[in-house]
Amino acid sequence: MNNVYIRNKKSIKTISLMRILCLVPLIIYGFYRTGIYLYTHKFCSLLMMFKPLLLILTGALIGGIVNIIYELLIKHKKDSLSEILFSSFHIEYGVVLGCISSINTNLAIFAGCLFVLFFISKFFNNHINIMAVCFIAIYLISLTMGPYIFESSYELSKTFSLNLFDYLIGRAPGGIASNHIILLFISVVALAITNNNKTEITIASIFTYSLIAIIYAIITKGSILNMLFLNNYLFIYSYIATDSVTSSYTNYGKIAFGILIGLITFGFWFLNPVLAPFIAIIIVSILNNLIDRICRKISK
Amino acid sequence: MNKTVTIKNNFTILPEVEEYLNPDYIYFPLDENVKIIPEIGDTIYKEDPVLKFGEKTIFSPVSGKIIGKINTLVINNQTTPCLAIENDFREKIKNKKGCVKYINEYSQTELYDIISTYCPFLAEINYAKKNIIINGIDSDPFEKTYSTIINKYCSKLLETIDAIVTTFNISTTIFTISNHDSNNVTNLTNNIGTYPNIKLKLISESYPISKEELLAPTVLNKKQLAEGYIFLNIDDILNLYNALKRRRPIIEKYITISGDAIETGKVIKTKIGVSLNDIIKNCCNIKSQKYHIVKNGLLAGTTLLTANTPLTNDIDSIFLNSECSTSEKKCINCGLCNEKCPVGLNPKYIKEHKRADRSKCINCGLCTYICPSKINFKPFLGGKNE
Repeated sequence: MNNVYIRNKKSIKTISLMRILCLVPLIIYGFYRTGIYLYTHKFCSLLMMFKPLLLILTGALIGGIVNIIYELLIKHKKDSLSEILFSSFHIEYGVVLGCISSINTNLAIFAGCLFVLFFISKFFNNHINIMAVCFIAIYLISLTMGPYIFESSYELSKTFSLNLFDYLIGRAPGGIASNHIILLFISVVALAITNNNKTEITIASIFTYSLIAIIYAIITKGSILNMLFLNNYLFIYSYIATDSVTSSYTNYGKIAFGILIGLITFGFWFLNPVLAPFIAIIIVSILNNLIDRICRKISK
Repeated sequence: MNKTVTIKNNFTILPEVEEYLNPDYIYFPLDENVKIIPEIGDTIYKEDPVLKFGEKTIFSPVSGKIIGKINTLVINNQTTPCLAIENDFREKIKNKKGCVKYINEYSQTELYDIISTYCPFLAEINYAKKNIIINGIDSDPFEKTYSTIINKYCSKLLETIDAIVTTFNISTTIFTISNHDSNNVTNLTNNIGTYPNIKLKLISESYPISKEELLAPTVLNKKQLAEGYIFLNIDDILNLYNALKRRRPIIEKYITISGDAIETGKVIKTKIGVSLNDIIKNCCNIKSQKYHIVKNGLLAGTTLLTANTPLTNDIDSIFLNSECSTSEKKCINCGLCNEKCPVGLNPKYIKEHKRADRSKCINCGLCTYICPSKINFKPFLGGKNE
């Protein structure tokens, strides 16, 4: 009976669209790096030039289809199509997974994993970060068919010596649209300004992981740049760890959530550096309610 | 702590006040402890006492005939017996006492007696406090009631505030007004020079700053808060003015009528006790028949099941508005409700935990307004205003 008759314009749809919009510069650069550049240097066919865009679009499409099937056929909702399409963040999840996947990803494995896991996630009340689960599934299934590498055919054909500037402008191997650090920084700033991201989580996780990685690299005399910029860590901390649904929401909770992700990532780095941040995100996302509860008690 | 939100008002409200002062019937809710003063069938004059509960008296806003008890009206969504008075449209007043003194020449006892007699709801306030806050900011961003009252009665309001301040020896007087209310800012700054005791404070237009819990810490320092303060809304000052200057009890009221189901919003001067049905029929051009009736604001207000309810002193606005079209979705854990709650509550936690402490809730509705999943938190919170 009691309701509020005026609502803020901010909705799941506007948040999703804003987050996807912030990814557009990264996607355009990714299309150039893993599509146009490879085609112009004759490393792929004209059709394969569009594979990066196809992967991202497939991700978005599956997100939308899963939402439609769930809302229309299972929940029998009578909302408008736009409301149904954006009834959850699955379209954004699909786009993000497309951005982070390797250009060598098999489209059928990608689409199959996304469809099955997205659909299952709808029934589990979003307690686990589904993007992390999907990526691990794609990675493990792809491994059964051969090595899952992030280098494109062009990058594999040559030997590179990368400096900091190369990492910043996205010359390092990585996901389709996840390795241009400057564009990523701009997109995170845009999300923070428009309040569409839990920036505290991004900052806390990057800070914690970087601190430990730098100390470790100094002790072992390893490459700091490789530890920081390879394997899409910054993108994962910016777009996957901050998934609104499965992350903490209290002020201290968000910081604790980020710190734990950074710590656990480093712990699993020795096991598998590609999967380490995803495993960390899954573990911490399961604990997010507990983190909020503890932080609420501490802040009282 | 500044956890308020700027909300854009999309409704047009006419600057002129419309009057609806001649209803056919007036209704007074009959609570358990209410005593009816005249007999059923008696003819009464305007401003005659009609009901008495304890020391408080309710006066008739019209002259006419006491019809008797009727049981068809609904108050706070519950059928409540009401006393009906049939208006004879003569507006006869008997025993009208004129004002004998200039309004700031009363002693404290005299002033208090007048307040007790004519504004009994304001007599409960402890006037021994050192500070006073006059709230001239409408409680809902879509209301214009207070703004209209200030515009219409600026000098009279200042005169009354000055009289209260002088008589009760109040040291700090702060008149708060929205900085977007440019007409009234000009109006007040032009007039306030005559009253050095009154400080005008412009408050940035954000919701729900006009709530006492937020406004007081914004305008008073810690020492003044510790000393205690009197909080009066601008319509209280108008009622005091009528009592002091004209010996007129609270029989009329200004209310805002607006919403997306009517063509143009307006501020209406009407009589207390008039049926909301009559107001809607006589004062509104309804453009859509599918609407909800909401009293006291689109954010903090309460939905009424029917318009068959009398206008009581606690109603400042009526909105005829369509239901929010978007459906409620699962919580996305964004934390905006927790971040924006002006009193620092965690609405998401309270919704999920029945035993959680919700006593601090001021029922502003900001958590529901801000929620991207369009979750309605109001039934789970229900602050002290409920």
